Amino acid sequence: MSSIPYIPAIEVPLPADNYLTAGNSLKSWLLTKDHKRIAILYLIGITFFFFIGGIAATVIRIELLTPKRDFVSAEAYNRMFTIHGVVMVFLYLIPSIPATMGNFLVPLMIGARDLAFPRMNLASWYLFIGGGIFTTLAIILGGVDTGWTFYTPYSSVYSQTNVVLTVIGIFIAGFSSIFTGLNFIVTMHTMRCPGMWWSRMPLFCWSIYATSVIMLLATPVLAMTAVLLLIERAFNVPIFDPARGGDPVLFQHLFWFYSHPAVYIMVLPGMGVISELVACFARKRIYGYGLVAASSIAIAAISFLVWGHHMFVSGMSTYGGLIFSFLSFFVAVPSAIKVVNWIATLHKGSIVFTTPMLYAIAFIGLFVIGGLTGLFLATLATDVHLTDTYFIVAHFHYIMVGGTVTAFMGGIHFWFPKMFGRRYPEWAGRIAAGFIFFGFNLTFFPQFLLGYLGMPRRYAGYPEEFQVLNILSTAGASILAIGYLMPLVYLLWSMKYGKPAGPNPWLAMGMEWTVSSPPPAHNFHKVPVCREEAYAYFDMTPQGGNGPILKKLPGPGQKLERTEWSGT
Amino acid sequence: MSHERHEPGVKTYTLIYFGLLILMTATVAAAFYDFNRILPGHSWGMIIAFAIASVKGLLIVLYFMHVLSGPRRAAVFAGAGFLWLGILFVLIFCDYASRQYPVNPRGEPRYIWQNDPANAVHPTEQASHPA
Amino acid sequence: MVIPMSEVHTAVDKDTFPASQFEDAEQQYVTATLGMWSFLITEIMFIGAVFAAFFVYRFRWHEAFVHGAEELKWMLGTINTVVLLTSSYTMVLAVHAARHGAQKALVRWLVLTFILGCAFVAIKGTEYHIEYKEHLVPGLNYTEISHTGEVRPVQMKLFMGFYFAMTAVHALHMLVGLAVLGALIVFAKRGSFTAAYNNPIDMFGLYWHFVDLVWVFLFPTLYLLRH
Repeated sequence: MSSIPYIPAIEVPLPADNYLTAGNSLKSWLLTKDHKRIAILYLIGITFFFFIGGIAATVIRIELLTPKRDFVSAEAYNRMFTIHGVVMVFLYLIPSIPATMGNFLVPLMIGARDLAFPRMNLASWYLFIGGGIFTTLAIILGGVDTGWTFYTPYSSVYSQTNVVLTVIGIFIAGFSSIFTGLNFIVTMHTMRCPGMWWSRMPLFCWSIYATSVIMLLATPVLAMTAVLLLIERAFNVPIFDPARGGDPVLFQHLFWFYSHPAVYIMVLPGMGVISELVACFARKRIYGYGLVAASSIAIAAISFLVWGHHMFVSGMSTYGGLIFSFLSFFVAVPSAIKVVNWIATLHKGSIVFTTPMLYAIAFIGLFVIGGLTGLFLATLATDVHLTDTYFIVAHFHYIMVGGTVTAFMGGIHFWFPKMFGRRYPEWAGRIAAGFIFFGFNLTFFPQFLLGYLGMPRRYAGYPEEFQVLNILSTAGASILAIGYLMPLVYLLWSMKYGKPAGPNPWLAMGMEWTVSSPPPAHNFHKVPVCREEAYAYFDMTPQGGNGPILKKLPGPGQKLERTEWSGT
Repeated sequence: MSHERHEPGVKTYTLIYFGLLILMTATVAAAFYDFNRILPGHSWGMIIAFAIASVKGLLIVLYFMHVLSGPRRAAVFAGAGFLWLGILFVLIFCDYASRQYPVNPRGEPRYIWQNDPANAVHPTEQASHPA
Repeated sequence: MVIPMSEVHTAVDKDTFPASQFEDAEQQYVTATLGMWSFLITEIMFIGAVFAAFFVYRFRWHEAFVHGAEELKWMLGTINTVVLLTSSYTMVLAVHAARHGAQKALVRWLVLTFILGCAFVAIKGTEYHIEYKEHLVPGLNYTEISHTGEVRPVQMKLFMGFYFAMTAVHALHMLVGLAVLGALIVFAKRGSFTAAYNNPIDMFGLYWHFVDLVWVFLFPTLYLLRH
């Protein structure tokens, strides 16, 4: 686009022989083993579920315009927020970045021809769709009203809604997650191309690796929790029913053992995307690469030690609460390390405000707000007052929407030319990004105030004094909805009518940008060899004279010395 | 294939097998002996059963599953799996071990349980189960 | 290394050895091993969750759980343990035979493993039948008063729920394993496995040993904690 100073407009035709044209039949798509096609299949699926979850959110926000329960009944409202949570978490957020961008990019970034287990990858997609079908069926048959957390004994004994169907859907979708994670871990261990040392892998791959570790270790516990819940409902075994000897807090332990690491499954890939975006659009290598990579692994490990902070008021022992609160403070540290490193990368970078960069900068700000409010919630004393209020709702939406969805949008815009070979209109991208940023903050910032003032979550009605903030929130939600609909329109349009992009429209570093856009079906014509560190950005500005930002570039055959490479 | 470091032979496998059978006999025998008589507390039988089971498990993992002789990364993966299991157990049990329950007049912990005779109030109705 | 364009049609071709996403057999072997271990890790966490739940309740309702353990048929359980350990032994010998290219021995050991696996499932089925007769199955015919007239502690239903859940999931894994084993026997008879290529046998061996490992912990937990 001529409006961006550094990136020349390139007019090249699409390569005739690419993964999109290799086979046009339905069978070639539904039985594909190509990780890129599977990524596109996932993209279709998660976009569909995003809008299902969005419809539920629309109903919620319309109901909350007025203090009385007048738009939907209380039972229907319960079903709405449950469906919103279940669909958004399990069918959109968990698969979003790993299954679309991870699937598409990880083999390309590490120089492999495909993932380690291509057929398992396809099976993952079918499991995702299968889980989605069960959940959609449950919605059509009337939904569930237990909340996405399925707390017992309501979900196991008293609820009269389609708990079994929904839980089966989640169980199946969980295996999709497990197989995806398994595939990524093994791929990164055994299929990196020659020269692609662990310390040269893009940070996106590191974050996908950390995400996959969590997927592998946490999801089975959710699966077993689902099985126990189903056994209780089907066979009347009082596993979680306190009236007959069970312990509902045990359900919460098992549920949150998965669901807390799950929130890191949602946010870590987003952080990986942001690393890629910031490096490319500041034209600089990520400051502190080693620390950022290590922090991804640290987040994955520590995330397993903190689940009790969702249960401070559940009846868990206070000493247990103290331990979990103490450990929860540690998990903020690696996230903070990442934020500091991104900001250090931006410092003295040559920043270009393309659409992906707008999303990246938005992410950094919104994630910081979400993360800092998490500290209030990690503190036992304040959490007792803030739990089950809108403060929690705002906190996790800042991370999940302000974080993950923003990163997802940024990544989709960044890699859209690579995936489809065409550019999208940059002006439309920036306008949509503006709508999303403004709409998001208008929706969720008032909710912090509402929560602090005491409005409980999951309530269809509320006291009069909260109405103004609720109206602001709903107004923001409508702007946000427009913001999300816009990319659907212009990206779909661009897939067919966008300007051909060429292999590297952003002048980015990374192995995925060395192949054509769209990539050939087999990724690389020859096995690539990696000869440079990640993010070896040159100063490509006319002023920089195409000289290296790196101090001393090695000649052919020479190895890049670490000491020469550190510093800007 | 030459990917094993030192692949065990049939003799090793046979030794391990008989070792497993002996340990199994020991664990069944120990189950019928009430260790609570000689050692205080409830749990000695369980500790002994688990110690024996862990040794058996270790033999299976190290030899039958080729962890000692196969690629080292496989050993790391196996270790990580058991470590995470440990995290699950330890932190959950931290909660249950540190809960403070009220005590009944006999001094035993009283879970508010409707059939507890110490709770000599009107028994509540059994909850209805629509499932 | 240049891949001739004639060989490059799709990302992954029809089944070759090594499969087309790999460079050589060694890479495929290590990948398969790590893949199978990753899957087994998920099984560890899956079964670990229910063990954790079991122990929480065992600490809480000690009497009821001891009573429940006494109701189980420890003799059949012991026989089953012997059967399963032996099948693990025959399986490791099968893997050993496969690695040395001894096809006849491989088939022999695989068939023995299959027979022992079936024996395990049959004995388990017998146990379930006996327990059904004794009205011990929650959700089907569990009764508070046993057929001998004694009153069962209230939480024993919880114990039996765990017993059936855990052993049924274990038996399900056995059945899936037996199905795969059957297919492997067919392939082994055809000579599909050589000293150079025997990954499926190796990986199935890992799975089978893992099912045995779970039983090694399941057996004392359910049957032998009688005090």
